[in-house]
Amino acid sequence: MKKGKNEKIVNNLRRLLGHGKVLSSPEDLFCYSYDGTFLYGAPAVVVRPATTREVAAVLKLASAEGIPVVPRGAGTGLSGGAVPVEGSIVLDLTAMDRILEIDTADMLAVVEPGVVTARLHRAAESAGLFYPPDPSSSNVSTIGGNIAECAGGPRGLKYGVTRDYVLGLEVVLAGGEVVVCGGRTVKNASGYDLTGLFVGSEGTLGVVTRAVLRLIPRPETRQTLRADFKAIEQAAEAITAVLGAGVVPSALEIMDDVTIRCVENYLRIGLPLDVEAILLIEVDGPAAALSEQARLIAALCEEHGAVRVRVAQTKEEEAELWRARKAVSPAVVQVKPTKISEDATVPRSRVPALIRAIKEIARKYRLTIAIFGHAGDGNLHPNLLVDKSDPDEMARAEAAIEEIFKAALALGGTLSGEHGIGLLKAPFLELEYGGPGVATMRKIKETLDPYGILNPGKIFGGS
Amino acid sequence: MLESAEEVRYHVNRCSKCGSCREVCPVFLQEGSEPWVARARVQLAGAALEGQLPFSRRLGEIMDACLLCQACVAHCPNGVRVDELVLWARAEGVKRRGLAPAKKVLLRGALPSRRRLALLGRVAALCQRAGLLKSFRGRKLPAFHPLPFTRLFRPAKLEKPSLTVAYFVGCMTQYAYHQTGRAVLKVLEENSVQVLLAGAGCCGMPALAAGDLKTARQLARRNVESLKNLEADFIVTDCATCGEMLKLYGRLLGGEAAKEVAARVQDISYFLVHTGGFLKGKIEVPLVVTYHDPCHLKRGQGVHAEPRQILAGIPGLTLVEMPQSDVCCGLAGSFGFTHPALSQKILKAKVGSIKATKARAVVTGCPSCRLQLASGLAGEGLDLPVFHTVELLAMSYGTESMNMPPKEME
Repeated sequence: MKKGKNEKIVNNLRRLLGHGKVLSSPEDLFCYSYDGTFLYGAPAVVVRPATTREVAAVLKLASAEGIPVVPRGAGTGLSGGAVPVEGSIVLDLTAMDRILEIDTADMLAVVEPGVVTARLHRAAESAGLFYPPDPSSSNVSTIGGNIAECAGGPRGLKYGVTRDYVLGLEVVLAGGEVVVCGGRTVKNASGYDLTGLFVGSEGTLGVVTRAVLRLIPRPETRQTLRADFKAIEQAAEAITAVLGAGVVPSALEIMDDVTIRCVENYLRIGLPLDVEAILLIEVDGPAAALSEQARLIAALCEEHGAVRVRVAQTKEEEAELWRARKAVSPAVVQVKPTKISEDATVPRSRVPALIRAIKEIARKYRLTIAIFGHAGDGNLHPNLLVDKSDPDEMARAEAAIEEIFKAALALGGTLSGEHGIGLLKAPFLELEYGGPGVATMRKIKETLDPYGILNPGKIFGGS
Repeated sequence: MLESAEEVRYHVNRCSKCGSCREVCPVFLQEGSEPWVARARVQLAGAALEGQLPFSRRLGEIMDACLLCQACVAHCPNGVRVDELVLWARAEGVKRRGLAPAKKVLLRGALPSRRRLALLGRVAALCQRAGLLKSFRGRKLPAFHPLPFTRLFRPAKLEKPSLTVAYFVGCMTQYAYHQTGRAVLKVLEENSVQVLLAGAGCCGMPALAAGDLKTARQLARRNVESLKNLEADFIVTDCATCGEMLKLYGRLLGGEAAKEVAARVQDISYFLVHTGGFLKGKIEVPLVVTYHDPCHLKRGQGVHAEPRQILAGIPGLTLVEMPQSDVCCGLAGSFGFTHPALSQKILKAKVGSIKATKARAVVTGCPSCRLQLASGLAGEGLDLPVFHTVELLAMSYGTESMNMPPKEME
């Protein structure tokens, strides 16, 4: 944006929203130039609207002037979805942070997009209810961001992802029109499923200003086990056996040997260094049924070659078992300062094949890749441990990432389980859907955003 | 002390920008927009280091609005020393833009001179007697004493002490909270520890926090000089901030003497629990109290179990923990006076936590926190006294009645 025009826009925005809600100094703008990835891009101005009407006013202005708009929550995304394009208006939605309703009769919540996910968890819980989507950033991420990227988390296997809990939305379109889609019912067969369309659309189709979210009864209690396996294949067979026996764990996390070594070096808690995989398995439900389920899982793991199974008997033991998994992030950055977290996802049965393929890629490109993630739903997080000040290593990492994507797709998987495409994976979208698939998506985008002002460059690339 | 570009770059690069600090940064939780969170300060420090942004006034404002409470440091999965990056950015700003005139007068004119500090204390006390200066920038101030603590009180000479310590009397104890100093002397005496008074003076933290490394080093050197020659096994402080600062002297100055002094520094509660040992209280103190963890004690020095162990050794006393006892009270040294409105908002949350406990008194291990908490409680019309941990132990030894106004031996 040219300087004179920029000033005019900033002044117009100040008139629309008031001075306090518009940031324009280079220092403030820099603070909105990044998200949880290593990408940067400085916006021209940042606005912090407080109401749907203000969001609509900003979009109307942006449409009229042809200025790109980048919606943003907490800025914790891992695909670059909230990284601004040069010269854009960043729409910081965190000031819209009210929980408007927790309805125990209809079992739903009505929230604004800036509500922090963990705050909704607590609000639901204190009403005896449960909002399952639980991305690892849930203590700071916002519901708006979760909806935009269709966030998941460890509970995906049993409870699904954000998409499965959005009953209805209020969305501001590119031109400032406000549309309401879905509603307050679990069933809704009325017209096109616009709600489903907006979930996971990464801010490219509209801006969510209100969401009706489904809540479910809170599980009575939970129990955790850890099983260590000499071979990844044994772990995979154990998972198949557990699900085959009719038990659906609420979490089923895997850590590979590289990850185990990082965590053990960091925590020194006696993790086994001679195994290929550790599974952390959690079941939840009525207390009466859980110990039986835990026993069954333990037996099945042993039957499939687990060298050791531990069942947590107390809250302290449970916390101890989870401690290793929760320490993965700090542990891996002890090795190298920069970690690039991917979320390639494959059908559950192909998890061992994907792990083997990633290990081969790590060898080929001389990289350290720690693999952990949600084995139960096939959603792995290969973390490339690199140093971003080493250009040679960064180039190798880039090549390795492309091969990981191709490996996941060849195994019948997807580029992204829960982070979204954003900027980082945009070059690969066609690999997954082919020309016609991407063209169909583009047609939707062009219909809803004819001037291309909504988060340009995301999903499709080439802004 | 981060000084070289490599050190600064290392810490900036460790930040993965995950945003976890949004959960814990007290300033961000009040202000709500990204520039006020730790992650932004790290990124801004990096941008300034690489020349992408100048050390502008606005950058200075953002760096100044940090409490240095280290909540983000403790929470950061990558262990980024946000506090040290902020200190580095402040120091770089001072190098380029100089100190604000008021800060310059205070930091370079008053702090380095014990005589001038004493004079300031005296003037403040006289003003208060004349009914002035009861509060400053919306904050109730404690009663200042016309004479400093070290002029009025002398430690007893013990026959057969088990250990000898140098007691570093911080400015707040020196000029305002004499009761804390008296309690330290009495408690150590009761436990057969010989006390030597170190030539008290500013520890240098106000200068370091303001980015005035020159004055900080000058004060540190002076204090090292007076501490290194005392024949003391350990150096104790009753002030969380002084304690943390003294422990930094080795890094700040380099050299054997500074490192040796820094290695001997212990907070009074740490000393009583781990080094000297302490007798349990004798007289019942029938009080329900709650404990506030000072940032510079818990995160700065890793001391949080010790004050509680001391409180557990006082018969009749009940400790009710407040929620989030280790969240900053919002004073953060001069922050409370340079950012009064923000400081009050952070304080309000803390007072709310205290109220929730229904405790009848508040205990803490830092005189600055004490000032802030007392002001916040009074502001809400709550008649809750605030004590230093050692004052309650002294009370239980029966050596002092802490509720009585201090008697001075003028």
